[in-house]
Amino acid sequence: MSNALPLYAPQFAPQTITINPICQEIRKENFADKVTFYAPGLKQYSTGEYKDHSVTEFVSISVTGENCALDCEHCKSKSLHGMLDLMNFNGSMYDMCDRLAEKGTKGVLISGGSDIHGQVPLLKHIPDLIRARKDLGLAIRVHPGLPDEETCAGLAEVDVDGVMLDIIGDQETITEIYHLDKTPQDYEDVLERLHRYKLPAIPHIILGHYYGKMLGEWAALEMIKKYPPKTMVLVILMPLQGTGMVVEKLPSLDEIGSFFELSRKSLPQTPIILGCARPMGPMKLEIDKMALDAGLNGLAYPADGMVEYAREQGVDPNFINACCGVNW
Amino acid sequence: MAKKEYTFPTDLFYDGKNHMWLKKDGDNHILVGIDAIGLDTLGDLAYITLKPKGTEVKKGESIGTLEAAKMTGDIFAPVSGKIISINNACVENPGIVNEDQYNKGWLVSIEATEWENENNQLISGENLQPWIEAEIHRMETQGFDA
Repeated sequence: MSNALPLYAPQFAPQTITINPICQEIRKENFADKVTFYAPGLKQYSTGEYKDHSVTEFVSISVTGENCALDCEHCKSKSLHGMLDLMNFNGSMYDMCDRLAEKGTKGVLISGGSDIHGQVPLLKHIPDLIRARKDLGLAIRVHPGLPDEETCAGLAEVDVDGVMLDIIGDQETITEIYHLDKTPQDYEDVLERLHRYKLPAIPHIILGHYYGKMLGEWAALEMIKKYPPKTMVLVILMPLQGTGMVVEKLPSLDEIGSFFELSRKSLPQTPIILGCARPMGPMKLEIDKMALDAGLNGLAYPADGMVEYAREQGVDPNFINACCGVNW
Repeated sequence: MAKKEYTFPTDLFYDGKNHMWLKKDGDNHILVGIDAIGLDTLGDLAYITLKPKGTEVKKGESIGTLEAAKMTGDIFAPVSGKIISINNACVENPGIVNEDQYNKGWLVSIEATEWENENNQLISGENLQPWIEAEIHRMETQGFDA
């Protein structure tokens, strides 16, 4: 094996990172003194501080099973593996939602693999999703990829809780990691489209997206600033086992902390959440602490100890068994 | 979609609740690891912590924690006793468990103190195949029954 980092908790250089206290001030000024920890049903989650996780409360559904036309370097469709497979389900999207609701599900993430244009085929499920939202009262989140006008119009009819998508500000990342014939401008156009249809955008920025290097993250943040979203999510590249992606070095704690700080200052009134994907083990603990220091509003699957850490900062922690920003 | 196949060596005991395998030697030393269905449920392991050598544990108590692609949680002792060794190689590189779960991927060795009372709650011998089939069925339908 080369020096590639596997999924395992990576080695990292311990550093003492000081986050500018102004970040805490920004959070206090614009938000209540609380932080929300999110735990969707994508994985089973139990720590010394939280034992009440439910994998059925918020469920992810893939409309394409484990299939994806893009074969992105950092994913290779592995992100779809833990989701319920609509293609293998004997029934429609509405039937599946109905069955889940009977079992106590309160929200769903409708996801799936993309076509070669980077779009998840959601359009044919719009009527079912409208029904599921109206009749079952489910919170509906979507992963549309890069939705076109028609998809945005449909999603607006669904009354979705949020539209989650990666925003990429670097051409090399789009071409080499995503294998997409798109440009950063296409991503900005999608943000504009979501804004125009009054859809609750939840853009994600992946730190270290280009094989662990930070290239387009700042440009992505600039794009997002133009269309302040419902929530912004920051995640950190986590090279999944079996993808073959060779990552020799992840962003340093310093780079990550600086970006948290910049994000907080750039979007003072937008809830910012540290999302699911990030390195595990000791590095995760440090990253999570920095997220709280930087005045972020939430964390997904927090490291053990973060509830106490939040309390020490005078912030009231609460848990929601769902995706970032969902509120029952 | 192809049906998944799982390997369950027949010379081992299995903790049906937590999907751990156990291998016993003549001195009541029990080697403990994660079985095939358990590993499939977890996804790729990323990070393992284990209680230190010398720790007394009761069956069902936590002997460590793990972080994996599909789970963050405790590792539970399948028998009561004292931890007499831990597999540091797996702590340093959990990928060993993913690659060779029944050999190099063992986690701890426990000197069992209640083996005679506790082993009848484990699965082995002629009970193994029906249990595997029932568990596979449960896995396949778990999306709606979890």
